[in-house]
Amino acid sequence: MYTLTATVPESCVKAEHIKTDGIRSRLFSPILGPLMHNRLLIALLAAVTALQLVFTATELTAWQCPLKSTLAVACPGCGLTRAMVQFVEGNWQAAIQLHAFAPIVLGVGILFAAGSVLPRKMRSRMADRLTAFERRTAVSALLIVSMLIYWVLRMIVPI
Amino acid sequence: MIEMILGLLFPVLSLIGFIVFIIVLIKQFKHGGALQGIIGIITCGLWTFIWGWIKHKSLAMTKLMIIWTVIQLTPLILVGVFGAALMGQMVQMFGELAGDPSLLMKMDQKNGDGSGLNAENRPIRLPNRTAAKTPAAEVTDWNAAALALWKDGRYTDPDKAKAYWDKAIAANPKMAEAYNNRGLAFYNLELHQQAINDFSQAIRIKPEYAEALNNRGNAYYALDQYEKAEVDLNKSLELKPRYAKAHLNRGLVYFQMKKSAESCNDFRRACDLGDCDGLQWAMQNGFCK
Repeated sequence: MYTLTATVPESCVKAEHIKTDGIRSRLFSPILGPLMHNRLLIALLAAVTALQLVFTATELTAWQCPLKSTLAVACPGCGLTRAMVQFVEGNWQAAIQLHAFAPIVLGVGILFAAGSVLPRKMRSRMADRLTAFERRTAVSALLIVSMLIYWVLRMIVPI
Repeated sequence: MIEMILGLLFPVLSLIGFIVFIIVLIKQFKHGGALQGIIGIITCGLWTFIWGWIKHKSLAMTKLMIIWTVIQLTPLILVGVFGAALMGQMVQMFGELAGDPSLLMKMDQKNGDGSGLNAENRPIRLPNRTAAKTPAAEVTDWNAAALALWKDGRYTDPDKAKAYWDKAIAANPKMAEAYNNRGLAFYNLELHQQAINDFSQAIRIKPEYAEALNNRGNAYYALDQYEKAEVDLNKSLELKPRYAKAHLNRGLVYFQMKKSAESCNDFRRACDLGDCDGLQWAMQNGFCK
């Protein structure tokens, strides 16, 4: 039977939504942990990574980098998929030569795939631990900064 | 002739795709923060593309995303229509123009006849679908079904909650609470503009609805529209002065507006009324003494 009296849920903004301005808090703000809470999104990201790998491995048209295809300038991620394919095929040295971050990005893809099939409670716990780890170590920001430095180095000294 | 037209089409599409990418990337830097934007760049725009589709409604860029998607899909479609051999020639032409043919598009070299169809040219048989009956199919009290999904300040399944509230609203379009609660489902789905529309409808039906005003304030906050958020939260607190969450939320808005004293006052007031999250955070960060 339909009832007229709807209880009103309280609003949902809490301290975790506080946006901070300091550079430290920005660098230490977690990226992967919060993503893990969203099953649909991580499943999508894992699927996109897998498709990209399959398309590249079978020489089908994969995602085109807008920078590369328009300006012929490689972006920091150019070569990652090919390197990941090499890594999966066991050509580790070739993979590292193509893009040194391939194993890490592949690991993140696997993490997403695993997270998307985990039961909600386990995924939630995993997400919280990952968030705390990111907050403590700023590992995501460090990886991104390292990737940018690696990109600049690759432009100066082409491998 | 076709080769020439398509040869010209590629650089044009590529350029449009690049422009769209830059527009979405700017929005990503603005609304998602610097780290999000940088991730967008280091993933060759792929994360920007996904983020764009996630935020397309709240940032009103659906058309932009459709254009970008069409541009990304065009090479795939053209391979199917014109065949890999002709596409190869075009890509080579464009590669020569762009100066780097090696890293542009790759084609299916294995598709010998270039038709893009399977050998027997027949449709692929899809597996039969089996649909389990959801528990909600038997629930006629959509209201209760949706509220059962509300846990720890959010919906455990916002999509389902939205569907239930849709049905509750269809049964009674004059119920302000249902609009407010569907607005919260949109909020959880990060569809902030749609959330605002629902909260506004709730306020139209029930102008003294302090919770809906607070929630609309939150949605404006999420869209970085702090002045509008402040107006709504002020109204909410006029109607319900002892509303702890509205004080906390206004404290956040003031923090973003660099009104430190007002922000601390609101955090303290929220704490006095039982919600100390804001004050704890502010003190931990040396912001409220």
